[in-house]
Amino acid sequence: MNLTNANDAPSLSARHLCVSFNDVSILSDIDLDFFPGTTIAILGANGSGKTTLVKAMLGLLPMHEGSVSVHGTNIHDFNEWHRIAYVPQKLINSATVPVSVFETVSSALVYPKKKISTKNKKAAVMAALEQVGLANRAKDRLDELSDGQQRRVLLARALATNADIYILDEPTAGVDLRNQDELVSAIRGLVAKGACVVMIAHELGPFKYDIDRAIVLADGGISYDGPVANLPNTSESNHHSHVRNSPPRLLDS
Amino acid sequence: MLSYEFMQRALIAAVIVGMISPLIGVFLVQRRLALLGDGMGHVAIAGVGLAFLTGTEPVITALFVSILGALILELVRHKSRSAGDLALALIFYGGIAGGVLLTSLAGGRASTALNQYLFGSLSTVSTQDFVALGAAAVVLVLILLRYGNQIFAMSLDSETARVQGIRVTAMSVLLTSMAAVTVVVGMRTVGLLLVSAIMIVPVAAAQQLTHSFKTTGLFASAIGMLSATGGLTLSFYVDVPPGPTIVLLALAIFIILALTTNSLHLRHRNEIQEQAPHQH
Repeated sequence: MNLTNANDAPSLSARHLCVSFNDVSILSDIDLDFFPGTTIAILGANGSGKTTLVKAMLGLLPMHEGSVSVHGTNIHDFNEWHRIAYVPQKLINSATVPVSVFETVSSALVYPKKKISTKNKKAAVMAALEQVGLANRAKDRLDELSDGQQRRVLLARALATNADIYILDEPTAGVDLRNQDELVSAIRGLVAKGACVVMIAHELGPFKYDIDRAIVLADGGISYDGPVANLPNTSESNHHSHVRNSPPRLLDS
Repeated sequence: MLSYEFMQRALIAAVIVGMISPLIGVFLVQRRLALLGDGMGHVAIAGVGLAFLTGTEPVITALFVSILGALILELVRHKSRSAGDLALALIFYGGIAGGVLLTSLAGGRASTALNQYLFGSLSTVSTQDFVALGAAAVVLVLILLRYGNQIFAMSLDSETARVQGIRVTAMSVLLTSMAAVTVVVGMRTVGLLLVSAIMIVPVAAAQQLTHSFKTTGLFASAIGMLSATGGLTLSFYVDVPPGPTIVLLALAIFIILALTTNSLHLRHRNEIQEQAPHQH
């Protein structure tokens, strides 16, 4: 376990991060450091600001106050974007014009400042699809796949990159149990190579033994930050056994 | 028909319009901006009116005015998505009203000439236009080859594209400006009121059969060329304006493909059901 390893510089940091919409504060005064080689779960009830937090840390939402740095560089000056992979819950326009599974994954390897040859791109895309068990669907339309399969394609989008920071928004929601194990081992592989994996989760589910650090958001701030084993009690009398034995709904009201 | 020099020019112009328009349109459909081309067409009408009034070259003036319109529209869309929708509507109305007003102020034969720009005409493609159209098409293809991947990633999901370092706003402005150029490329043959149809209808037709973005774009481009040349030929022999003929031909292709693929899907589904009888 590697919560705040002093030997490593943080991959991603937030200082005094405040986000508000129309003068309503969503997150205030968040300080976080995410370190390489760790898996972090961001938990919290619906509307607690989980997605807002990761989007602000990726520069997708304006910060009201504070700063974010990636590998020590302020996000406004950061330009090594191939080092970050972001998996949203769903792609915004994936069902308008037919888009193949291959094209979806391959679109993750388009960087203005780093050209990847067609041959290398194809190899990376197929290897990633292989990892999520969907290589045989490469030529199919993305919108013809089930929700769970589409989620696996999105994860393949991240696996195809050579990033060292992975931000995943509910990566296993809707994925059936058998395939969840494949995703868990794929993510375990990334962490073993030294990547920092941050995932938003409603429940720890299949990742319960892999999470190094859980962060719980509530009321616009951090209500818990530490190992999964010490997660505070919620509605259950014995939370520890709840996490270990029956993964469903954690801290979700 | 090919013995007439104006028809040779018109046909080649039609091939260019038919080929290039769906290649831009496929990105617009992806971004749910299918009506953006219409907005650009309407702005170009104001450009043509302005050209009549000032005695400048309609193609060039329309090009400048519609690119200006594209930039203003992107600026508003950047501020707010809902404001962008309203801005598109305002541009529709402002463009056509301004165009007609400016044309009538220009007096003389301008009103008759405007009609040719609205619905296309066989005889209006001058050699000078022809060179401008060819150059514009080459520029559009070069931009697509250079930035197509980034525009695709941006059209698929603007947020993941931003996290890849793609300059989403710049790509969006580039795409809208390309739509504006396409409108001007098509205004001589298809006409400004219908030019956006040749960007969109072939895409709608192609996607009945395709499984990927790339094949949709290429197949739509082929359907665009077929409709444009076929429609132009029909309009030569039947003596009707080329714009509506081209668009109706593209729509006919869409309907045929939609009906065929739907009935094939239905038959395929029935066969699957027959092969796997219910187990009770």
